[in-house]
Amino acid sequence: MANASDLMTSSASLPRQRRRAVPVVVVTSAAVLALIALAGLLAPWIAPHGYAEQDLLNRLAPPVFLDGSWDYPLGTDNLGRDLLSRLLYGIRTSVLIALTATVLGFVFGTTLGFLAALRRGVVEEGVMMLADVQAAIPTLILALAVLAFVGNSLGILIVLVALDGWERYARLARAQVLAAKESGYVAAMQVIGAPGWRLALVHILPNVLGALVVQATLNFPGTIMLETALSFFGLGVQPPETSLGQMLGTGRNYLLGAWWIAVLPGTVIFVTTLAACLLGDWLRDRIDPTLERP
Amino acid sequence: MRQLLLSRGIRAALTLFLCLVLAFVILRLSGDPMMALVPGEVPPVLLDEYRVRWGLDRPLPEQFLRYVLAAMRGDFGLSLIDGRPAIELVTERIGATLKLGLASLLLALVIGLPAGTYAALNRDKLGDRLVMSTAIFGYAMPNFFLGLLMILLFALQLRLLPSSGYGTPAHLVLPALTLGTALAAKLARFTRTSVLDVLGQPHVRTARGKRLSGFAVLIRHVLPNAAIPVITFLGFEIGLLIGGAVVTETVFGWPGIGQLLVMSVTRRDLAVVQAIVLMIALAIVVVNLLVDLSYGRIDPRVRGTHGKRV
Repeated sequence: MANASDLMTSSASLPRQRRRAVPVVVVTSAAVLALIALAGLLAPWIAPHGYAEQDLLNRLAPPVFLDGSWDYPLGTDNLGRDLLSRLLYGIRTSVLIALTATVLGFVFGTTLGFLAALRRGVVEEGVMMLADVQAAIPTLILALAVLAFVGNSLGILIVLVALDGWERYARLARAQVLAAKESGYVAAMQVIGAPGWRLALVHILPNVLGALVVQATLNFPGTIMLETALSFFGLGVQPPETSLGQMLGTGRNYLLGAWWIAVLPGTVIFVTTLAACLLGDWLRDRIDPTLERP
Repeated sequence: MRQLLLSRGIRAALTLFLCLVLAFVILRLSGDPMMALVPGEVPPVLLDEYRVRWGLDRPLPEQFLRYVLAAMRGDFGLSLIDGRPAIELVTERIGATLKLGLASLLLALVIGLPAGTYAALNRDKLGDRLVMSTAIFGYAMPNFFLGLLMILLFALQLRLLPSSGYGTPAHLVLPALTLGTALAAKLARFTRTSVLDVLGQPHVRTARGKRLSGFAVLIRHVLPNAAIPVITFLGFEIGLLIGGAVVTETVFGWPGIGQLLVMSVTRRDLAVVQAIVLMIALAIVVVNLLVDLSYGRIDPRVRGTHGKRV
């Protein structure tokens, strides 16, 4: 991923001639995402309590801003578990799943797209048919079905979330590679006898990676939402582990007396998806010349 | 045109067939399919009888063939919970889901189309920025959270609307708002792009050059052309609507297919899950086929090119 982000920045800053300042909104979004990632990363060290630690005498305690105590800054849930700690661990789980799934889906879809464009024929038809099937079944529905039939585990959950959007990477990669094959530099490489794989990995990939990374950024909010929706139904991350969606699902039963149990994780999810959307939009406008002035 | 119809039809049928294959494979992955198809505790003798009846004692290719034929007749086995045919449980709930889906789609159209057109016509002005910032909020908001916020605000705090249930028009308001918001936001963004694309084209400049009024240019030249990509977009987003319906129905206790799906997954009522997944795939494929075919009606260019080739 480190490699990909390097390439992303280098191709994103290609049209230097008319470079504009990065808008405040975008800087803020990036900062918010970094903060959220950091909070998840450091959860075991900064959380004041364990995420499964119960304090049954202090159930449904209000947060500080509603005259709660500093022992539980954001209050407690129905089992007296500290919401701040659960939120931090929930971020850790949700972001980990979303990131892993994004990388998996990206690699899977891009590989298939490359194969389709380079091999053509039966391979291409096969990949495009698979993409059609994926598009005919919304990922949420597919994930629900597989969870019902095959059962649940963290690995299965990640794979299911990774399925969200692979077909978009595949279509985009195929289109980009087909376009690249028409361009002069690829023809030149072919003339001097570069092998196909080298052409694909060393010459075409870096040129099409920018658009694919933008696609990944645009896809990320949906990935977060998919995992949180599954956990919200109680079908994703299972207790005692926690995730943002699962907290929201629990909080749903206590809306009347303790609304913060649902609203806190919900707000974190919303802020994350919003920041990712804003960042993705900006990246797309910068990188795609046809959309530069939408 | 006939060729277009044929090739799209074949593609749609092939996609559906692959969905069936996928469902068959997943069903077999889950272990003994009898567990999925027979309700509750059944004596072993009866199990064997069912096995013969559904041909589960036959070789796999034959089983698959029987499975496909049964699916075509709408036979997906019996529900684990009440022993009725799975397809019956699904069909009796289709009405509720359609009602919610159509209300949300209507809401999205009524908000999204004018908002997007307005933003495009006032590009980079204050109005455009306001519309587009609002849209990104609507688009980034997960619908399960939006639903909870609506319940919290309108049902629990203001006590204006019911938080869940089905029947009166008042019950429809919050679910339709929840489901329609994301689509309205996406539609507004897409409409804006689409209208801007058309505004930049030479034929619009010609129309303006003819001294047609701004309104006439908009109605006669811009909007009809901008509508074509918007319709494709709506076809693609039918999946978003269905996925959203699953969430929304669960949050608001709306007795549709989505709620049934989540309930059936929780109870591992596999026959019903399978029936719903295949019905949804069918709906999406059919909608997209209709969208493809509607091009010929809306866009004479498509009709023309294909006509010549035939």
